[in-house]
Amino acid sequence: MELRKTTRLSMLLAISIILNLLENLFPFFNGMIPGLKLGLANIVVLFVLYHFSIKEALLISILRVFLMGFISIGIFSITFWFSLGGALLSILMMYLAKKITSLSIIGVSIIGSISHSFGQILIAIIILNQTAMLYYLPWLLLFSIPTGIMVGLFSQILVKHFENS
Amino acid sequence: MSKIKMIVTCSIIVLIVGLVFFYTFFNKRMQLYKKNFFYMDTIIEVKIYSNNKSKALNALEKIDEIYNDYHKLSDRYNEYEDMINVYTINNNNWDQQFLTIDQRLYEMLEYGVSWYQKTNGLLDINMGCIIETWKNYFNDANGIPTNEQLNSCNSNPIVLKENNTILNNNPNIDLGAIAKGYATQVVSEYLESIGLDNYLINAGGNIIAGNHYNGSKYRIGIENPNDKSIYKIINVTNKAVITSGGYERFYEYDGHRYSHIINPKTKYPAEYMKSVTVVCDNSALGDILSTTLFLMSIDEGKEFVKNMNVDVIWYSNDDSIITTEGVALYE
Amino acid sequence: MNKNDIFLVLIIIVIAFVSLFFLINKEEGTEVVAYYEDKKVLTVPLEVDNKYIINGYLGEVQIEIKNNRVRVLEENSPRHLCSNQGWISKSYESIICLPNKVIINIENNSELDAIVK
Repeated sequence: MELRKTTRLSMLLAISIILNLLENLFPFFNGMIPGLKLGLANIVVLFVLYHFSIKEALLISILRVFLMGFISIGIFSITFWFSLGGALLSILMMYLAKKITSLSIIGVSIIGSISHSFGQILIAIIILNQTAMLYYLPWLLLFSIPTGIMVGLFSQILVKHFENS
Repeated sequence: MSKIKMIVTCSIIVLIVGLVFFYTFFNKRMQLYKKNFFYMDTIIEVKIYSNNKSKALNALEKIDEIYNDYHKLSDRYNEYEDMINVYTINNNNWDQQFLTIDQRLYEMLEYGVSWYQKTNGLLDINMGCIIETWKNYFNDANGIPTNEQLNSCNSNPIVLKENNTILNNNPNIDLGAIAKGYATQVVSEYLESIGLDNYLINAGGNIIAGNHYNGSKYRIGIENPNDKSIYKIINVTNKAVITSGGYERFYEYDGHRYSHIINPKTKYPAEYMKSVTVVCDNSALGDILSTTLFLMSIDEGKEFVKNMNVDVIWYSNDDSIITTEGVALYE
Repeated sequence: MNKNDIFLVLIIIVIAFVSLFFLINKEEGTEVVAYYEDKKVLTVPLEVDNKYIINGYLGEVQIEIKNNRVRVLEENSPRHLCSNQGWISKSYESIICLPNKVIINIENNSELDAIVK
């Protein structure tokens, strides 16, 4: 990997962690619905997915989850698995959405937001054998629209800005 | 996508969303309204499921009144002001040849008396003296009454006349075998009449279930007469379930088990089985049938209910469970 | 944002509302069931006001039942998401304390409605 790209990706990884921490620091939706969040870190992932490719997006995402594990949520803790599940499924779905549909980056972002929720619910079903979170799915779906649009808009600006670099 | 397609899709979506909103807004959730009463020597638990709070609460008040009235009317030990109840009928020393009684009490007596014939004398609401004699031993479990004691109980017959009148001859009425079931039936009919048909009433093991609040069935456990565990579960709606015989309803003396249900013919407790459970449409009927079936052998009982629309579960003395065919439908 | 995005948003709204319609049953919850990992550790009636303690991964999780509602009163976790969630009362609701691996559900009693004896 060339040095320039490595540096950029490292910077982006740092930014995604900062966004993640920021979001945890100011829990906007604290206590409303389990699993609900803005998903600011997804701005970086989306940008990487568009600017580079799915490989880099996966790399950044997985590294972010692991680093977050070391920094705050605890490595291999239950929250860690939730994050990883959500992150992986959302990247995969966003990649597919980008590749096979004609959705703009905003639509792809919404898909990412939804599949992040889905991923967490799947993990809950697998690890905890709990289907309780399924009941919150409709609300998570609805909230994924504004959060997805917001994240998508930010990413769009970034992608445009760095288009020629 | 064309503009028309877009508009059509949008309007369908708006319609669906609107309908869902409308539905959730106007279809208020069923709530449980529950109250416990203490009448007729037992705890009566009434559960009503409704989306109309004031209606349900009013109904609970009214049910309290109904049970209170029937409790007083069938009370054999206390008299109440301005009321001729069983105590008054049994014990007054008034000169009147006939007593005019509350219509509800009259109807209950009429119902009880009508079953004397149908059960060939096994259901006798005129055996207060015999029951009382046994009751004295029941509590202490230190013996059984002598034949002399039991034979000294001679009751005047219950003679019902027209217009809610009864011959004032001091009979020996005891409505223990029917009052709970009868009052519970009255309450259930009251609830149905005002449209609150999601309910479950448990009057000390005398159960009547209405519709189930979410369309499924009420799960009723039947207690093992030996050890209070549940030996059978039946699922019902719109049925009465009544057991006679069960745990704590007998005493043991000299290695022998004496039930609290006395056979009017032998004047001794029945010994055919450990308990019997009746499932039928009417709580008053169920109460009477469970008592009657307890006083018959299991084979006689099968014959007795053959042409009735009831189902029966017998728990025999050797701990086997015998049921009528229809019981399978509740499992 | 293009037409397809708008279409996606509309589809999501429909799916959300339709699933809302199906998932939210009209049943009232009857009991509080607490899980630690995937094990049931507490089953108590929703009708009885009381406080209970569940041993979570990071310490004790105290729950309170009052007026047919339940909430997490105190717990030890980085963000206190579940104690901030407040009261729940309906049978489809749950409180999820991930760091403590504790889940509190309101469930419908599948036990007996009554007993005859």
